[in-house]
Amino acid sequence: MRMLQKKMSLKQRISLPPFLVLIFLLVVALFSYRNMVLMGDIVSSLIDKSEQTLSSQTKLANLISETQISVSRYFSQDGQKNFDSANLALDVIKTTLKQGKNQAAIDAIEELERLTSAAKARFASLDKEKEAFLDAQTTLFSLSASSDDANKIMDLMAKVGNDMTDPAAENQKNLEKEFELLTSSMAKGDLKYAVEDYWDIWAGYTAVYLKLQEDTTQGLSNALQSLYAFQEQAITESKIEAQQIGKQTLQTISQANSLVVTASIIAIALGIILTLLLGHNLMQIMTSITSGIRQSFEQVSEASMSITSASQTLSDGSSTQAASLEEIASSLEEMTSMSQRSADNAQDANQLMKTTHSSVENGSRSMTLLSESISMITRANEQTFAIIKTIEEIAFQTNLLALNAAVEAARAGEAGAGFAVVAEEVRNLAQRSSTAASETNQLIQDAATKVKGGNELASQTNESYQEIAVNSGKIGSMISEISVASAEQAAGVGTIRTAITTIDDAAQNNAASSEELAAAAKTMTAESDQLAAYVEQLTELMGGDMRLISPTKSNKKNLLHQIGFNFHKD
Amino acid sequence: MKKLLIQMTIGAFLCASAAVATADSQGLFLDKCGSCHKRGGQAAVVNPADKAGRVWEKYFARGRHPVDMGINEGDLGAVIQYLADHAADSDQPASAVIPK
Repeated sequence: MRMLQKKMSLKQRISLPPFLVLIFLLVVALFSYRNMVLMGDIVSSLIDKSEQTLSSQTKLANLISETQISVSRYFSQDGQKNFDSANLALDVIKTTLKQGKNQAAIDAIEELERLTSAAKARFASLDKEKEAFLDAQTTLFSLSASSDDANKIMDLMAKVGNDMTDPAAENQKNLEKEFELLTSSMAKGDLKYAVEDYWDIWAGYTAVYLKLQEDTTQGLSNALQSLYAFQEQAITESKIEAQQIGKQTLQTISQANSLVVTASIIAIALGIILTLLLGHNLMQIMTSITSGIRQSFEQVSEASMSITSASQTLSDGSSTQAASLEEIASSLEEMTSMSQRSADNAQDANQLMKTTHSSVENGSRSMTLLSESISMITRANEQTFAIIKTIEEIAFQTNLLALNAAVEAARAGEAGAGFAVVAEEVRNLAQRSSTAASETNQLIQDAATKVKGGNELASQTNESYQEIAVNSGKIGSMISEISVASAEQAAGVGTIRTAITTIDDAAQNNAASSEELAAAAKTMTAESDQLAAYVEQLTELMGGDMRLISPTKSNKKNLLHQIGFNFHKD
Repeated sequence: MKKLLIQMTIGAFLCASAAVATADSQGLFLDKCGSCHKRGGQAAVVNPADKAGRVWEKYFARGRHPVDMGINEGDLGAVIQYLADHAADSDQPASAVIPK
């Protein structure tokens, strides 16, 4: 039952009990109709059987009567015509009885046939004996005329003649004795033989006649009695059969009525039980379904609110996204131009770096030349220093000489006064030369120191130039790479721009879709209101409480607030 | 039950014997009597139902048959019994064993 209930739909559950009751009542009606038809058939059969029985009994009675008449007529009045008539009647009744397979009656008919056939032979024998009797009587008359026993013979013939027309069993023994006495006393001869023949013919005739009479009175009567008994039995059986049919009909009617009443009660009880069972189960299921719908509705309501909020947020987000994308697109435009400019600048920088690299190389070469020049200046300073050294030595020597000359001039006195002046002047000059040479030497030493410092600076500068050249080469290659990267960046920015354009289109579509979604969410909210009304009706139908189910406007607002939806949002 | 079976067996045996005897007797009658007593024969057609049984017995007891039948006593007895069994006053008169 539970399995059946699980498999049944609501429609089936509701429609099954009345449908089953209807089918049951239909079956009962069909059964009643069948019983009515059956009873009609039975009654019709009863009438037919009664008519058939009546007809059969009438026919059988007629046949038996005809057979009795024909056979009895034949037994009382010999003749081929009567024999044929009797045989025909026997054949007809035998054929009729064989159809009913009535063995006792058939046996009776066969006995009648046997008796009729035997009677034919007996009648023939009697006819023959009658003729023989007349011949024997004539012979006996002619032979006994001269006999002493003529009177006895005539007397016996008279008795026999009377006996022939009406043989009686009690006379037989007396006549037999008389024949015995007569023949035993007679001598052998024609007369004796004639008496014996006469005796035999009489004996034979009477025996056959008595047998025929016995057949008529006993065999024929017994067979006919059997037939009548059969007929009576058949009538009795027909009556019993009719009574049985009547009883059976009444029983069938009673059974049919009982069955109809019982079946109707069972159908109603079954309908009530099924209705109660399925209804109870249905109520349980409906209550469960209503509860489930209520919970689901609350969830759906919350979900619809969430969808409304989400769709609104999505719509705003889509608009913001579209605006941002437009800004990104414009930024990308600028970025593209900047990238292009950077690429161009990188190209120019690269070119400049190449120029700078050559300038640095030139500078390096110039610094090399400068170093060489400074080296040459240093060597020249060394040579100058050597010359100045020489000049100092010359000035010293000159001073010494001037001193000597002064000494000599002082010695020489007046004569040497001029000379002493010259020697003084020469000494002054030598001192001045020595001073100048010292100063020059100092200057040259300072210049050498400075040249040395310049040479070191030139070397350092040259090294710096070389580093600058190396670095400028590296910078050139880096700028080349930057240039290539800038070109690639420009291309990438172009691709990004295209993608952003596509995204922008998609964002526009998303914005439109989100607006549609928002509209659909509103529709869904409206549908949820309608669903709430349906649930309310269903719950009222189920006898439940709807207060927990129907989301009022305040309830909705609470729900929306719970899910973070802002009603005052522009 | 056993007794009944034995009786039924004996009864069936006797009936069979009687049927065989009747068939033999009829054959004997046809052979011995029918050779002369037949249509177009030396003597008139004769059948058992022509006379009563006792008449047949007396007829042969008196030796009234006009010619020697050339038959032994045993066969004659059987023929007489057959004639008596199917005579005109018997239960089964035979009137056409020899066609007329």
